[in-house]
Amino acid sequence: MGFMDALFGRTRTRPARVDAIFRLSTAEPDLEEKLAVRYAGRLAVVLRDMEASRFAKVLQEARDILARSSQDLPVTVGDATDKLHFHWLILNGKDLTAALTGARLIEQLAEEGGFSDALLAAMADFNQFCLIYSYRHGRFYPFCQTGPNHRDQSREIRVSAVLNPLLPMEPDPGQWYPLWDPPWDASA
Amino acid sequence: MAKQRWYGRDAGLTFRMGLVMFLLAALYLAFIAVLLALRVPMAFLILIIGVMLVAQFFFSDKMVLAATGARVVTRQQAPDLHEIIDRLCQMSDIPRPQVAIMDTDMPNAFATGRDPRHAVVTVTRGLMRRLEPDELEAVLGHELSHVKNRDVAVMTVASFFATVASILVQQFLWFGLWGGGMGGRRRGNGGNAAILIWLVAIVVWALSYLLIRALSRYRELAADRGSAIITGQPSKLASALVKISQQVSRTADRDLRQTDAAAAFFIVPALRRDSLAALISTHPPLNVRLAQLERLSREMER
Repeated sequence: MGFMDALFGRTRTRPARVDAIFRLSTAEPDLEEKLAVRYAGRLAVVLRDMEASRFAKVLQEARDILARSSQDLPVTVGDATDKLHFHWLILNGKDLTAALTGARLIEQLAEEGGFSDALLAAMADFNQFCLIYSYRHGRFYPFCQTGPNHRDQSREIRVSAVLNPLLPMEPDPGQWYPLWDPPWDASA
Repeated sequence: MAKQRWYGRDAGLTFRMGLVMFLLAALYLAFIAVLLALRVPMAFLILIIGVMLVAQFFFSDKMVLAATGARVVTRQQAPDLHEIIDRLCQMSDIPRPQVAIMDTDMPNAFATGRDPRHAVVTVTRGLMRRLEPDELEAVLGHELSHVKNRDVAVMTVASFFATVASILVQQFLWFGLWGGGMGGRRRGNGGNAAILIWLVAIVVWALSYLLIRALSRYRELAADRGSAIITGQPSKLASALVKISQQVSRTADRDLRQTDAAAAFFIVPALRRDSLAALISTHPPLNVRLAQLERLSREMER
């Protein structure tokens, strides 16, 4: 936000930064080796709800295409809404690369519809913690929920330190926004 | 065909805001020119008012919180509210403000703080009780837009010379005597010059008052627009505004005394205003705000 935007009170959203998310695929072996965690087979793309009726079509199209291409892409797609009305498109399947490809498809459809700014984050489950990719900053950060509204921050800092050379990590812990209670099981 | 954004630009609003700011600057420059031409001892005046405004600038958040009795709440005290703010800030990439709650049943909200890092967003208990979560989110989006647009800083700067003028008007007697006394060799002119300064100050004060109010209204519209863009839900802010203004006008009489201090900061003004209000109101009328949100809804469907 520049000086002129503040002076004239203009609000602009930045389009999503999708460039770095795929690097998670190449970092997967290191995650297994250095942190002794396994991908839990579920990755969610989280989108803000938009009032436009076109937006619902974009979501439906993403679900349809992912369901149809299940031979090429070994993921099944689930769908949930959290209590803040954000959409979770959940990609289930053991293969992390396939899930990331599915996420790429969702990103593209959102971009084509003009809703690139509706992409909030992608969240990959590694059993003991989750990795969140922020579409605003194009960086990853760890999120380790241990109970209702409770997170293990020292663990998150350790995970981030290990992953720092491998992935573009968010350096400012103030930006490690939580996504409490991911609705993994609510999806069909 | 890829579209960059679902919303367009509001060149009209930018233009009107720019025009008002230009007129204010021109008015102030003329005022300074007159004061200099009449050899008014400006340094002292500007020093006093400068100190006053710098103090206001740096302590506005604490002063407003103290004046309204709002308390900053931690994540443990209000987890739901914090969660909504978290999502909004992450979505819009605005630094996280502090969150405060004001213990009154009147539904309202306001934001203070000179820059995004010192901002405090306050909501009343009545607001949290009456609005649906997504309406609350829209209201918080409006307040976050104020934070992002640095409205406290902009309005403080915009009112600087208006404050100078109003002090000149109010302190006329004192100033007139002083002006007459120090005239020295121009003793005969002292009184006339003081009256002239007084008249000029009255004109500047009145004009700047109207311009500042207009600027405030445009910045409210800009914040409404910002909320719609950040949340992607123009109609939620619209329904929140309708709910709040109905409730506020009903309870205004009862709550007038205790809410007066914060009236200028609220999302919907707490004082009941009638027709004269259009020109001097800090907020645009509800139907203008709703019409803008409706326009954004239509833009979205295109």
